[in-house]
Amino acid sequence: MENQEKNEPGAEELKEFKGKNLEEAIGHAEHKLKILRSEFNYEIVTEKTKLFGLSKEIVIRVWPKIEAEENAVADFLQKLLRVFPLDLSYQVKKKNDFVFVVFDGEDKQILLWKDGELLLALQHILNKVSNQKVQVDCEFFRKRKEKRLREYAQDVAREVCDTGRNEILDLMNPYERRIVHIAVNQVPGITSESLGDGFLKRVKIFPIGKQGK
Amino acid sequence: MKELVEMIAKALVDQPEKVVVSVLEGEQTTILELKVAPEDLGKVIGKQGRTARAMRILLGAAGMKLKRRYNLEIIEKG
Repeated sequence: MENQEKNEPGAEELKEFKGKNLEEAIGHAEHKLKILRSEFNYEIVTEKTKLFGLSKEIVIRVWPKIEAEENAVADFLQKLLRVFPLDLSYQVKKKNDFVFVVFDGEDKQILLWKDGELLLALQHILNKVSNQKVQVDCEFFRKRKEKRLREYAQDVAREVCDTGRNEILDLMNPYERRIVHIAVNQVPGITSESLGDGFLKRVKIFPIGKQGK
Repeated sequence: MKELVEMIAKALVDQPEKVVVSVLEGEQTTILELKVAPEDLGKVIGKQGRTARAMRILLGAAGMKLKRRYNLEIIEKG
């Protein structure tokens, strides 16, 4: 339908597909374009309900995910490291929806200072500039951190088990809380929940059935 | 460091042509003033200041290596 020539780059690659629901529209797109749904982006153009809700029509606009996505990350890093005085190298890999960046190089230790402060700052910026889920790592920082956190959470859980008293942990981000919840739930009779709202929350660890305050 | 702030800010905003970084050299500290289009202010600051904080961490690490202090100031009006 909308086939007017636009001057935007890649405009000719934009295609629209219809379906009774999103699934069907995506299916059509996959079939026509002969690419998998993981290889294109889409947005919903219109969604209407016809005939008193008996049938629906949805139109999506589809465009291929060009390599540009992981390149956006690699390009940015290349430009960044040209003006950033640390001696770092990196590898970019794409897996499922994530772009993974692993850092190496002479100054990699600086990335890990203060509990990976710089590493996580870079991750935040990469996420913002690329509109992608980017996860960074260096020297198995992530694995070590997860292990430490898991062990800590289980230690606290065992303590709660012994004393029967609730414990509340320090503020943590969603990624850290997830690790804590999983670790705590492996200790029989103990469970956990997040308290508060916002990006950072505390995790409460308590015996099952004794909600308490 | 001017290039660093400029480069990151330009990648974050919608109007990169409006990104201006000015440098004030002090004795031990360099102040980097970042100006962006008013609509882009939120992009360089981020939710709860996370993006601004991340940029400051990058500058801090760079400063550590170069043995100099860098302060990032985001100018809200001008």
